[in-house]
Amino acid sequence: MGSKLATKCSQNAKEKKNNIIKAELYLRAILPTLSDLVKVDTKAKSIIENRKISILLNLRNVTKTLLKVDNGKIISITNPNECGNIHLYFISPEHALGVFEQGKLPILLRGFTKISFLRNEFDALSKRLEYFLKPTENLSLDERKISVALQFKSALRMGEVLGETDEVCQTILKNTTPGILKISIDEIGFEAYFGNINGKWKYIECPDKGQAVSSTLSFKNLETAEAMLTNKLDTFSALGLGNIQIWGLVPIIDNVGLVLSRINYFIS
Amino acid sequence: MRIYDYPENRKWFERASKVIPCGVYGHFSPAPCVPPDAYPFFGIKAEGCRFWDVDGNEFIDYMCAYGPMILGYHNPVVDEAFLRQLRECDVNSIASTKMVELAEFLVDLVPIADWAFFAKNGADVTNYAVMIARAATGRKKIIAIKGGYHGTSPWMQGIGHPGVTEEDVANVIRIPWNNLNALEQALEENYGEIAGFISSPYHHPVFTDNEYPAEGYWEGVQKLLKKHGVILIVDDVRAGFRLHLGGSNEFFGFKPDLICFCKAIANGYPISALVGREELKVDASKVFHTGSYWFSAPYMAAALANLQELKRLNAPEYLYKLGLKFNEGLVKIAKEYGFNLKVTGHPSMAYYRITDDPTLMLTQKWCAECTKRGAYFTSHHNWFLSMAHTEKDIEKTWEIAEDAFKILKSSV
Ligand SMILES: Cc1ncc(COP(=O)(O)O)c(C=O)c1O
Repeated sequence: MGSKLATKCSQNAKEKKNNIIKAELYLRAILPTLSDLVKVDTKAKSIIENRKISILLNLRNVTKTLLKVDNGKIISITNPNECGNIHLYFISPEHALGVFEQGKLPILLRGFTKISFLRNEFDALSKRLEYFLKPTENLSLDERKISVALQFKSALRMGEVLGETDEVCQTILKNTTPGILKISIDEIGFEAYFGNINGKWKYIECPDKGQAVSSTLSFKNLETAEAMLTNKLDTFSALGLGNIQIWGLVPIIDNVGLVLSRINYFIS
Repeated sequence: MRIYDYPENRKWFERASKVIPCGVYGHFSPAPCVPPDAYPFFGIKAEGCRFWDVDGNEFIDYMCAYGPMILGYHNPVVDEAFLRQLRECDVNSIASTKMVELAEFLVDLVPIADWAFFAKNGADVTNYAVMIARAATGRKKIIAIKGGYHGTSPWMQGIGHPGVTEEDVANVIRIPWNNLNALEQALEENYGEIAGFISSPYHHPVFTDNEYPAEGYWEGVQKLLKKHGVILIVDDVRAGFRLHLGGSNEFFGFKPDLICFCKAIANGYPISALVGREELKVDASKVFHTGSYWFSAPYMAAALANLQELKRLNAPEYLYKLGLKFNEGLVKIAKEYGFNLKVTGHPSMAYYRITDDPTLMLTQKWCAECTKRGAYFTSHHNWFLSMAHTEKDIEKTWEIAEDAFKILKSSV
């Protein structure tokens, strides 16, 4: 009886911890991808053209994300000092997950007069993001390019969050030499950088002058990148067939792969 | 100099990728061969220190099947011993006397060995060694070196790797190489819980310079382990019989409790061995460990013939001298073209890195250029020399290396 109770308690503690990580992934990685979305998708950009507003999404005792919408652009700030025009509050990770996954309502603490922005523009933007992050087979070629780029960026942001929150990713980090991996898909002109930078898993859009790339991973075409993102790629075969090319410190590439494969453990 | 291309290799790889995960998996996979289009993946013939791929390209082989080949491919003495036994009896329903003869030979050859046990792969015996350490001590934790490789069983892999659970690695503590303080700390923090310390005799990780034990390291390790009643397991799977026929620990001057051998034990025939001290024989007898093909006698006959040949030829000395000469030449050629080639580890199975570029990209380009010219070099792993490599082969390899450095110089 006692040991059953202990097992149940430890399962609950684990579930709770995973929920925190999951909620952080939404708040600190997926929502910030809105800032990338409006850069590459004219439809999304037009939704917030001529709008200036900021939304604070606040998960009690865990994290805050501020989305500053400014005339077609979005800047995302984690744990900001300022509070937004709109303040959305989540009392628990479970509450936040209910909002992000099941359409439940957050608590509106400030911005009652701006509620229509949430109901209309913000809702439309979120749906547009989902359209690209969970693509169907009906996307046009241009949309597929956007989708792949956004999926990579949100995955890399998630990798960064997992580096701070997930013990497995932290252990992988300890076994990874410092270095930056450049990920690119030449066919669509995409590139992003991720690596063990200053002792953390970090995503950067573009390295500074002093930051040298230590490994590269390039996809020959869109199809290969799509297969990778949907977990349908045998990467070793792809290497042998020339659909992926790697150079440099291969262990960094391996370990980035391990970090990114942890995403599925939390979010499917 | 002819530059190889690989159309038939590519065709075979396409076929393979349709029916085999990874196309070619494990350490033969394209992943560490950077870039894969510089490398062959399918061979059709091997002889001495050379192999030929499906495109008919000829290579002087500096990987030696990643260690198993030591006398040369198709060594007549070993092959004949194998074939003789094969004709007499291969797998059977009872054990072969060859097993006893091989065990007796190993017990004679390896100073710490009072008994021997045979399996097929390196991991079979690293697993067995760890189980024996646990059985002997009644403890569950194992200390291993960060970056040390002991096979692919889940406990030997890292957390986060597909198929490996937290529980699988929960009892393995990884410490840095050559760090007695870290060892002491691990022993103190897990007082009375450590069964064994497993390590290669010197550090030969991949993608990284290899490292010899520091002065006094093994002596210090043995003192600490003795104090804590911990079994010392040397994983000599890769280096065994190359540095010293009595086990690489003899080369470095220390005496472990158990030694795992594989790779060079039978010149490529699949067999591995665990040898140990008398004090652990009863514990070894209690651990149930076996496999369908572990009693297959021709491989034992091959191992016996191979070890006898290595002894007759005083292989470690030949390999050491040849390695020194080979490496000296390579370093000199590199220098002539303005590159610093760093050679680490044992001269006969050294790791090579062009230090002018910390990302390994230059090393990768150079190895790729050499491979395309017929010297099979990888950029992530230590290479191996064999008894079949001659000075002439080495001179030819230097020419190839020089040509590749020329290309490298013109590209930077
Ligand atoms: C040092 C060392 N230990 C153990 C192993 C595992 O041997 P196997 O692949 O035969 O299981 C290897 C293989 O490369 C090795 O190099």
